Order: sequence, then structure tokens, then C-alpha cells
Amino acid sequence: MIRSLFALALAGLFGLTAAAAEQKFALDGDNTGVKFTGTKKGGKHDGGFKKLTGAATVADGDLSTLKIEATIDTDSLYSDNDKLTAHLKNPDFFGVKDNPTATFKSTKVEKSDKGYKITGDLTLLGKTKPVSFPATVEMKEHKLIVNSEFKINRSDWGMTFGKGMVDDAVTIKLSITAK
Amino acid sequence: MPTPPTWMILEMLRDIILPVAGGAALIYALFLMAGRWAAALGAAAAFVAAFLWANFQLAIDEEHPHVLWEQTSRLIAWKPNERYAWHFLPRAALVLLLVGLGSRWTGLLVSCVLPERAWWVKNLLVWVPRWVAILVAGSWVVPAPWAEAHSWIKPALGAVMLFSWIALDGLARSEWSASAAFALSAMFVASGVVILYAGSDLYMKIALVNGLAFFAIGVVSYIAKADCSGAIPAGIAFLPSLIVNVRYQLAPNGVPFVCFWLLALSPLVLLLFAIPRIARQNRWLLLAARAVLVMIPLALAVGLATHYEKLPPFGDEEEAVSK
Repeated sequence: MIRSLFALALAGLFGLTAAAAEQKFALDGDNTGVKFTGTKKGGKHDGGFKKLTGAATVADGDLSTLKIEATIDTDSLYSDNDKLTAHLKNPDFFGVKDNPTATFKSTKVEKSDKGYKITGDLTLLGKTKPVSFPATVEMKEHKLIVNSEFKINRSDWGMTFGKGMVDDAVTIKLSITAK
Repeated sequence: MPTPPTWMILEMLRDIILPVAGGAALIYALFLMAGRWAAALGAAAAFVAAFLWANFQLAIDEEHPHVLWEQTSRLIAWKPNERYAWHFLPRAALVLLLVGLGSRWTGLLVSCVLPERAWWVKNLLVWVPRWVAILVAGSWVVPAPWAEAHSWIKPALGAVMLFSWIALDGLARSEWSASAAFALSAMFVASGVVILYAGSDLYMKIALVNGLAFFAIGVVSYIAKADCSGAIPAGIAFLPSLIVNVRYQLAPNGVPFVCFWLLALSPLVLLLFAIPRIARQNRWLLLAARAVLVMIPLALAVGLATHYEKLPPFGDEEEAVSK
């Protein structure tokens, strides 16, 4: 009986230690940038999302344990052209009325030659597809800093409008600087 | 007013205008070669063929070497996604087309058997299934949040579809059959213009596909003096439903609300000509009056949209903005 209680207490202590070692960073539109660049015949447009909520966690300072979960408010979409912003919110592209959020949830973070490789599930237009992208991840002065630039194929999520006129590949720029 | 660049016009010609207008005219003409009995069926088949042709694309590349359903639709997914009411537009149109043809043939058969004084039985057999089909198909195309928030939308849409069908069906079965198709064509083209000003290329193209299909059907019907009533239900399904979805989906824009009402209700002006006293007037006078009355709400809608909203920039002009 005494041994069981001791084991339980020990387990609880280790659990507390583990919980204490996990750092959690709240993500929002101020400390996290999700920007995109779309290209078409002879031109390009930049845009992004102003609002998102989520969290990133790192256990024991080990950056390969990084976990990211974020929910983007698609109606907060902006671009370099007001008319284009309205067009992107329409069903031609994001259909924000039917798809008010887009989500990302990391499933694996691996160390690579040039930094880290983050793998996760991206849900866009109600469709979830896995994505992997290279990223630089670092902790500086109690801040989590993540930067990445990668491409996704919009038609993988069923965003097929304007095929041939608007390129399928869209560049995503992710930047997190969270305390 | 910004003008679209040449490549955009050529792509519209290749992807929308030629397949839709050419496809509809070809299929309708082929059916008419079988005889006048096939006119209504041919008109319906022409519309279906035109839509299939315009909506099909084969988007395979290095990353997507295999043909998937989602890679083969240009405007509306072949398999509707439950999240999007507007994905059900083609399905609703197909149901109304089939019920329209089925009820028409039932009515013809029954009128051969029943005495003339029992005309109301035939009318019941024709219009009750159509009314039921409208209630069912109309419920698919109303966005769920709107249906929950506004209980009047589904019945109102159903009423507009039913009365539009009554108004256009009578005209399409008359000697001026082609004018019903031309009227629908004008309504869809005007809708396309207003939708473009409201900010959606996609919905504008859906309206344009309808407009061109009905234009081609109208031309063949006029030349062959053939009945094109079989295609009318597709327009009845698409026009008010598309407008409802445009209003629901599009980001705030300067196009006045009244423009969408004018477009969705425009077929109802033709109900005037179902009044016996008016229907007995000189036929040329009726033709002119119909044309004017149809054009008034359309011209008003387009005029208001162009007055209160700017056309989105095309090609080079848009790039200039981004730079």
C-alpha cells in the first residue's frame, strides 16, 4: 500500500515537472503572420489574414517537440487591392460565408539540415490535406520564433476557379514571434 | 470602363461562348432532324449538353496525373458539396427539366384519353408534379443559414419559380416559342453583368452559360419554328436560385439590393400576357410589348449596378494596381 502511494506520488511529481517544462505560446493576428502571394499571367498579388487564434507548445526547450494549432478567420482576409479582397472572399476562391475558418494542426516536427520540417493538416474550404514545409524555429529571450516560406497547390483543396488564368501554386509566408 | 485583355476574351470564347452556344445549337438541331415531336426533348438535351460542355475541363498536370472528379469541373462541382447550396443548382435544374418533360408527356397522353371538358385534370397532372419538384429542388439551393434565419425564403423562392414557369411555359408553347428562350437569355446576360459588378467571375460565368445556351436554343427555335419549352425549366431553376446565392455569398459591394430583386422577378412580367384580354391583342403588338416589358427591369438592374459600383479591373490594369 505504501509502495503504491509512493509510486503515485512519484508519477504525479514527474507529471507536474513535465507540465512545468512545457511552454505554451498563445498565437493571434498580432504575433503571427499568415501571408500569401498568388501569381497569374504576368502579375502577382499579395495578401494575408489579419485574425487568427491558436497556440504553440514546446516541451523542455526541445524545438522538435513543437506543436502548432491555429484557426484562421477567413473573413479577415486582406490583399493589395480592395476589389481583389472582395473577390477572394467570394466563392470563386475562399467562399468565406460557407468557410469562415481555415485551420492548421501540426502532426510532426523534425530536425533537418537547414532547420526544421513541419508536417501538419491544413483544412481549407472544409477539406483537410497534409502539408509539409521547411521552417526555421528558434527560442530567443523566451520568445518562440518560427519563419517559413513554402508553396501549396490551391486545387488540392478544391480551389479550382480560374485554372489556367490564376496559377495553382500559392506561396505561403508564415511568421510567428510569440512570447 | 476597363476592357478585358484579348487573351481573356479568347479564353472566354474557347471555354464558354463557343462550347455553350455551339453545343446547344448543334444538339437541338440534331434532335429537330428527327422530327418536330423531338423539339421539346431536344431543347432540354441542348441545355444539358451546353452546360456539361462548358463545365467540363481536364485539369491534369505533373502533380495531378490522374483524372479525379474534382479536377474535371470548371464552374460547379459535379458532385455537390453539402456545404454549398449553389453546388446543387445543376441538380435542381436537371430535376425540373425531367419533371417538366415527364409532366408534359403525361398531360399530352391524358388529353388524348379524357374528354375536353375535363381539361382541369390534365392541368392538375401537369402542374402538381412541377409544383412538388419546385418545392424539393428549391429547398436544395437555399443556403442553410439563410433558410434558418428567414423562414420565408424557401416558400418565396418556390413561388417565384412556379409563377416564372407558368409565365414562360405558356409563351414557349406558343408560336412565339423562341421569344421565351430569348427572354431568358436576356435575363441571364443582364444577371451576369450585375453579378460581375457585384464581384464574382464564377457566378457571372454561370449566368453567362445559361444566357448563351438559351440564346442558341432561341435562334434554332426561331429558324426551325420549333417548340423550345423543354429547356425552360432549367432557366426557372437557375435564375432566382443563382440570384439568392449571389446575395448570400458575395462580400459587401455597391450594387443596390433592388437590382437582384429586379433580376429574380423579371420573368413574372410575362404573367401579364396570360390575362385573356391582353392575350387577345394584336400579336405583333404583344411581341413588342413583351420585349419592352422584359427589358425594363433588366435595363434598370444593369443601369443601377453600373451607376453604383465599378467594374473590377482586368489584366494589365489590375497588375498596375498591384505594382
